[in-house]
Amino acid sequence: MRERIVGFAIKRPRVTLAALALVTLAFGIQLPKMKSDTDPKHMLPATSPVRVYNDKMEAWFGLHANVIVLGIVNRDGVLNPATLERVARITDQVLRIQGVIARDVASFTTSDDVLARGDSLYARHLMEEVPRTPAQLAAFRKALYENPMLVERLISKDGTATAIYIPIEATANGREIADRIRAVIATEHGPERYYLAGDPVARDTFGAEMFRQMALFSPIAGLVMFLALLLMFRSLTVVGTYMAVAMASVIWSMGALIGLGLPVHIMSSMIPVFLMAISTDTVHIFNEFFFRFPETQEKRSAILQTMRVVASPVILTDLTTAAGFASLAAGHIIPVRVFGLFVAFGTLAILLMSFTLVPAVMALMKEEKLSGLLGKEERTQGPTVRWLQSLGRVAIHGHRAVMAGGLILVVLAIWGITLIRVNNNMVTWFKPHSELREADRIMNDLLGGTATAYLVAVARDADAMNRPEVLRYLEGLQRDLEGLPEVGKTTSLANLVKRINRVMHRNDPRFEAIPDSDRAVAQYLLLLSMAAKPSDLNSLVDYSAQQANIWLQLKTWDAVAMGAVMDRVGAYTRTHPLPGVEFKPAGIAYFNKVWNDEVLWGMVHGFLLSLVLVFFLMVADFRSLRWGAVAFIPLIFTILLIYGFVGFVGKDFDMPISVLSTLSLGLAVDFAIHFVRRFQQRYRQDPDLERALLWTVVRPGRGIVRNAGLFALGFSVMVFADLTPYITVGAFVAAIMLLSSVATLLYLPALVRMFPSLARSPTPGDSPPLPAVSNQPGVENPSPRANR
Amino acid sequence: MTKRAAIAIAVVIAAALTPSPSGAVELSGLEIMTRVEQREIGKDERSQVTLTLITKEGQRRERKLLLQRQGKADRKKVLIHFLSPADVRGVGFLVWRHPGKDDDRWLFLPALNMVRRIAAADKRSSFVGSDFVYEDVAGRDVGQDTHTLLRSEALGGQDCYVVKSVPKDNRSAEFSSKLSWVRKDNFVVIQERYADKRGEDLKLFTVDRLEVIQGIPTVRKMTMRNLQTGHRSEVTYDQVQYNLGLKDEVFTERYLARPPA
Repeated sequence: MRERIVGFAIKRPRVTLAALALVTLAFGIQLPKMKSDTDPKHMLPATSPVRVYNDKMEAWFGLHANVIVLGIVNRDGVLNPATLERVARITDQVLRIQGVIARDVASFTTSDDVLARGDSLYARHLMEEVPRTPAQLAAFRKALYENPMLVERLISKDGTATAIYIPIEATANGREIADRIRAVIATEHGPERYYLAGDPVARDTFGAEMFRQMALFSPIAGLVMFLALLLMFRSLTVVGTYMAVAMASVIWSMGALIGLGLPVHIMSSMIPVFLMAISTDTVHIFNEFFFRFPETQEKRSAILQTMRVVASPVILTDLTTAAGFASLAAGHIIPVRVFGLFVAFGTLAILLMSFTLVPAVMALMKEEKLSGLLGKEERTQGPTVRWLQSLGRVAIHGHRAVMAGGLILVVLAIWGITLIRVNNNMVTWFKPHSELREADRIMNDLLGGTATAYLVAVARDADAMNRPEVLRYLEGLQRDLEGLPEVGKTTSLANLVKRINRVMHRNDPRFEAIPDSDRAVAQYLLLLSMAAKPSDLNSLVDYSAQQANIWLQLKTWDAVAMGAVMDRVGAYTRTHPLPGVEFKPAGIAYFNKVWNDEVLWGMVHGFLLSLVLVFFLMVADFRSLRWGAVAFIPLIFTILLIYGFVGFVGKDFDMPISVLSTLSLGLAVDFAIHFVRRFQQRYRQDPDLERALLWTVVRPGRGIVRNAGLFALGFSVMVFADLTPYITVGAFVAAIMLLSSVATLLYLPALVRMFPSLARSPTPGDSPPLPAVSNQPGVENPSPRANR
Repeated sequence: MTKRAAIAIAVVIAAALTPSPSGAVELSGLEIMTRVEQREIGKDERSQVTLTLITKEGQRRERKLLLQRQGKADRKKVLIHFLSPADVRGVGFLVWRHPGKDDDRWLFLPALNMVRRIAAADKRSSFVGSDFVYEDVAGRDVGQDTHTLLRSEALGGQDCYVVKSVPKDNRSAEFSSKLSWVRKDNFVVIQERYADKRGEDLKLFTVDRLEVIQGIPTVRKMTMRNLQTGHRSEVTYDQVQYNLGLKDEVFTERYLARPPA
C-alpha cells in the first residue's frame, strides 16, 4: 500500500501535487469563517454539574456572569465636584452602550441608598445631583463612609478611587464594549486615571491579542526556520517542501476545525505552532535522500530506497505523536479535546504528505541540480560532524560517568517536581506591565477585589434566611474568610440587614447589628424591596428566603486562592456547625478553580495514557520489550528535567505548561525512534557495536541535531510575544527540542554500550534487508555494498 | 389653585363644551391623558389586592394587601396594609399626594412598632420588589410629560387612542418614552409600553380584566412585565367597593399604626 502510494507519487508527481493542492484549497476556504471563544466557562461542557449549578444560581439571584469594572482614580481624591461630574457623565454614556445591562450598572449615580434624617427615611440614588458646596460634599462623603457596603466597592478607603461596575450581556464582546468605554473616557480631560478590569475584558482582550500574536509570530517563526533550513540545506526546494508540508497540515487541521463550526480557543490557536514542530519528517527524509543519492546516482531508486529506510521511523513517530495528542480527547475539557484531536489529525496529514508530497517533489528535482547541491552539503557538515563524533565518543567510552551524571540530574529533577505549584491565573497571561495587568493590580490595591466568587447558603426550610441566628452565622463566616489575605470585601444579606437596622434607628451606630426577631428581618426586607432596586436585594437572598448569597471579592485570579477559600469554609463549618444550612461555592473564581483542576488532571491523565500508548507502540514496532524500554529513557529523562526546572524556577504549572507535556512526549519520542531504528539497521550490516553506535550518533544524529536546532530557533522567536502562554510555549518547545536531542544522542549510545546484550537481541524490524550505505566522512566504515 | 389644576379644569370644561364627546373633534394627547387622570373613580374605595411576583423561571411570591383610597389624581390619599405572608402582616404604607409638590409617605413596621416618614425623592423605586414602581401605585402627574396622540387603533376589540408620552425632565422617570392605549369609550388605559433610555423595550403593562362595579369601570386584574428580565408582577383586586364614606382620619399616621385585625 505504502509502496504503491510512493510509486504513484514518483510516477505522477504533478498529479499528486495538484491533488494535494486541491484538498488543501478545500480546507483553506473554511478559514475565513473562523470565530474565537475565550470564555473559560466553555472549558467545561454545558451539561457539567458546575456549569449547570452556576447557571441556576445566577438565575436565582439575578447575577451577571460578565462584569466590567471601570476604576476611576484621582490621587488628590475623587470626592470633588469636577471628578464627580465626570463620574456622572461617564455613567450616563456607559448606560447608552449596546450590550451593557443598564438596569444593573452600579455607580454613584445609579446605586440606591437608604439613609435616615430624623424620623425620615431617604431612599434615592446615592448621588442625585453632583455635590458642589463644601457642605454638600461633606454630606456625600459621610453618606459613603457610613455605609460599609459602599466602602471598598464604590469608594476606596483613602478616597482616591471609585468604580463603575458594568454588567454586560452574555452575548456581548467584552473587548468591544471596553473599547467603547475607552472612547467615552477619551473625551474627558482631567487629572483622573482610568483602569478597565474584570473577567470579560481580560478574556476578550486575550482572544483578540491571541490572533494578533499568532498572526505575527507564526510567520516570524516560519521565516526564522526558513532561513535556518536554507543555511543547512542550501536548497530552496527542500525548504519550500518543508514549508509546504507544514502549511498544508496547518490548513487541513484548522480548516477542518473551523469547517466543523468549532470556535478557536486559546488552545487551538496554538495548533499551527505545534504542527510546525511536528512536521519534521521532511527534514529526516531529505537528510537521508542527500546521503542516498550519491551512492546510487539514480534518482528514482534513491527515492525508493530513502522512503523504504525512513518509512518505519516516520510512520512510528507520527503515529505515536498522533496517539499522544488524541489521548487528550479522553479528558473533560472541551478545548483540550478539540486541540488534541485536531493536532492528531494534522499529524496524520503530515504522515500522508511525507509519502506523497515529499517523494513527488524529490521526483521533480533535476539530477544535475541535486549533484550540485550535494557538493555544498559536504562542505558544510564539518563542525557538526566533529562535534557529534566527540559526543558519541563521550557517550560510548564514558558511559558510566554519563549514566551517573544522568541519575544525579534525575534526582534533582524529581525534587524540583515536588516544588511545582498547580495554579492558573488568566491575568498573568498578560505581561506584568501590560495595561490590563496594571489595571487589575491597582484596582485590587484600592478596592475590594476584582475576582468574584459566591458562596450560597442553602437551607432546608423556607424563610431560614430571615432568622437572626442564621444571619449572625453568615456574618461570622464572612469575618473568618476576610482573615485570608486573598479575600478582599465580602457582602451578604447580613450586611444589608445591619445597615437598614441602623438607618431605621435614626442612624444610631449602636444599631449596626442584626435585629432579634425573624419578623423584624422580614419587615426590613420588605422595606428594602420598596426602597432600593430589586436587584440589590435579590442578588443577596432568593424569593423564599431559603438561600442567601455571600459575595466574595478576591484580590487575585489565582485558582489556588479559591481553593484556600473553600478549605477555610470547610474548616469553619466543621468547627461551627449550623444544622440545616450548607454552603455551595459558585461564581467565576470558583469556576476557574474547577477547570484548573480538571485541566490539570485531564492533562496528567492524558499524559499518562499517551505515555503507556507510546510505550506499547514502540514495543510493538521494535518487537522488543527491552528496546521499547530503552527508547523510552531519553523521553522520561527530558520530561523529568523540564518539569523539574519548572518547579525550581517557581513557574506555576498552568494550562499552557500542562499542554506542553504531551508535545514534549511527542517530540522527544521522535528522536529516540529515529536513533533506535537506524542503529538497528546499521548494526545488522556492521556488527561492530561501538562503530555502529558512533555511526548512528553521527549520521542520523546530524538529522536529529539539525531538526532540534531548527525548531529551537524557530520557537525561541515566540519569547518576544506579548502574551505569556506563547512565551512559555516558545521557550519550552525550544528547551524540549535541544534537551531531548542531546539526551537521545548521549543516553541511547551509553545505554546500549552498557548493556551490549540489548543490541544482540533479535530485532526483526519491518524493513527488508537494507541497501547499504557508503562511507560516512570521518567514520571508518568499510561496510559492503548491498545490492538490490 | 395650582397651574396644573387650572389646566385640568380648563381641559375638562373644554371637553364638556365640545358638541360631540364621542370624538367628532379629535382630542389632543394632553386632553386624552388629562381625561384619563380625571375620570370618575368614586370618592373613595376599598379593595383586597393580591400581588404576585413571578420570576422568569416561574418562582412565585404572593402578597395580600388591603388598599384604601380617598380622592383622585394629585389629591389622592392611599393607605395600604399587608395581610400576608404572616411575617410582614400589619406592615403599613400611607401616601398623601399634593398638587404641585412632593408626596408625603409613611411606613409602619409592626415588628419594631415604628412609623417612619419616607422622603419621596425617588419615584422610580420598585413597589415591594414588584415590576411596578412607586409612581405606578401613587400616580404620575400628567404635566410631567409631553403627550402626543399618535393614532387610533383597535386593541382587544376596543377602539383606542395611542398616546406617546415623553418625560419633560429626562431624569424624572425610568423610561424615555411610554405608549398608552386609552379606551375611547371610558378613558381607561388598557395597555402601556415603556422604552428605556436606549429606546429598547423595557416594560409592558396590560389590563387583563376590566369590570364595571357601582357604575365605575374597574381594573380587576393587571400585569406589568419587565421585557428585559422576564420578571412579571400580577395584581388582582377583589371585594372592590366604592363610595364607602371613609373618614379623613383613616388616612393618618394613627390609623397606619393600627393595622386591620
